[in-house]
Amino acid sequence: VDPTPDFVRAVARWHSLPTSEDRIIGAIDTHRSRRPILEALRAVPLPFLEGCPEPATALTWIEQRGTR
Amino acid sequence: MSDLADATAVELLERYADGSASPVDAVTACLERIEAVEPAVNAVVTLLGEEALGQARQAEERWRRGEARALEGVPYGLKDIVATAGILTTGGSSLYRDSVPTEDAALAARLHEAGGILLAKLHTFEFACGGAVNRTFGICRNPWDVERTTGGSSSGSGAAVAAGEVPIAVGTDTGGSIRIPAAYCGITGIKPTYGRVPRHGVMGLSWTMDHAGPMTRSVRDAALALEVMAGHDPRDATCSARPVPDLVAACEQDVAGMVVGRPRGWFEDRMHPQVAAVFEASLSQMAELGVTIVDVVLADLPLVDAAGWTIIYAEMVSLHETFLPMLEDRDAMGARLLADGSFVSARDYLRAVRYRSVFQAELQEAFAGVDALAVPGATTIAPPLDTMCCDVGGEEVDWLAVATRTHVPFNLSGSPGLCVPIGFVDGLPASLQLVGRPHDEATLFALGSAYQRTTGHHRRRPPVVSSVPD
Repeated sequence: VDPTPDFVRAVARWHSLPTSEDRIIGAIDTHRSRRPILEALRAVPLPFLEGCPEPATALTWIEQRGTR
Repeated sequence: MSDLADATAVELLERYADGSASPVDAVTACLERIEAVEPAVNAVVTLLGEEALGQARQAEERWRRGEARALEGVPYGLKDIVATAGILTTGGSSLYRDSVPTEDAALAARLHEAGGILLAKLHTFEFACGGAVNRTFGICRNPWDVERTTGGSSSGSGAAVAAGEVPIAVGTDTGGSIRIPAAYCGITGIKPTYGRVPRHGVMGLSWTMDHAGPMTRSVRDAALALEVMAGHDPRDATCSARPVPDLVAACEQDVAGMVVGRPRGWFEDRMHPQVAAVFEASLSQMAELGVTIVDVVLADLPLVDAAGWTIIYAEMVSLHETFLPMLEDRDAMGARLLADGSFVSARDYLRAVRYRSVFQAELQEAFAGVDALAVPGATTIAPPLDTMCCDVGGEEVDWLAVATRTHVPFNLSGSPGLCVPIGFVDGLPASLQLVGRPHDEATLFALGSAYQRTTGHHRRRPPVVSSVPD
């Protein structure tokens, strides 16, 4: 389900992005090519309860020299 | 005197100590080298010759009085996104062409307080993301072949160190920007652990992926410089409070008995065949040092890479929001990344940030029983400037995705990565990256230094230096 240029233009306007027509087309190409891997990333289960990863979880792992 | 321009920082300090050379000699040698190679290389944005000579005379006094500090009289350069009080800091951009900060970046102040002599502010891809063609400051060229890129974004740091303009330069690294130019320019470069070096005063690109670190001509110099730059600074909220160990001493540690994991797969599956052969040989040389190389598994690297890039896109757009109306004034690669990044959803960004912990857990398992990982510092040689495409074995591909694939995962995890030169393909450098546990740069320095004690790749000088008249 690729976004149409009109849809992306509307998103750009909604966010007040000063994006030219060439940039719109380029962004669609980029996100079309990234979509399969992003869908795979979205499919990775992330815990809701125990072990729920938050940004600070990663910082703690670093500070504890790669252990939890 | 010009041979001093090819000396490492440690060698300079030894010569200052025994009186066979002085800081004025070294600064003069570097200035002569800069004058000779800059027309071909273009690594310097702002030259600070007079100021540096004045500081060199003060450094000589300190040596005479027995008050020399860790880097007393050693010339260095800073990527021009690192703030320097009273000195132009352009970000490599026309937007900051006349910008003069009033305060040093934390790391710049530390190098100064350790007696280092700032000789030049160095070329960078615009705001560390603009691409090899900098419309404001021109193209920085690879000293090994001036028709090829240095890689980036720490382009000037890589070229200046390789060409003998300075023995130490500081780079920054969000997706390989220290390690890629280190690999392409045949020098040593370390992206330290996230939070090891304070980012205060360094122009940001992606705050959870940004790191600063030294680029040098030897592992010992990298250890020396990092020891000075590292340590807590309250002005960077993510800066670690951990004490900095004796990293120079770590360079002498015996590595026999250490185990290095080789993750293969993603890291090695898109390689120039001759670069792959050189990489293989470097692992054999490691084994001859008594290091055991074992295969380890890191299975989800395509997801890791996607998460890393999602974060870079989103955080870059946030940090550079002010510049969005001037998008078309930006250099090509930066403009494209900003435009594309504007359409990353908050949901994808937050998932990528949370996925970071999933990868860290996978990395923790891979590190069970090993001291470090070994992956290519670059899977190809530096691409030509006119195509910016890399040969990965019969196929030419755009450089950015290939160059960053062995680096972005460790920006995401926050792990330290040390690149060392390991040989040459068609006269261009190849590189090995050693990756460590967080806050264990010491093991990487031990391994890298042991490797450099028995090999001479890091001592080979590029053609642009050979053409300098005596």
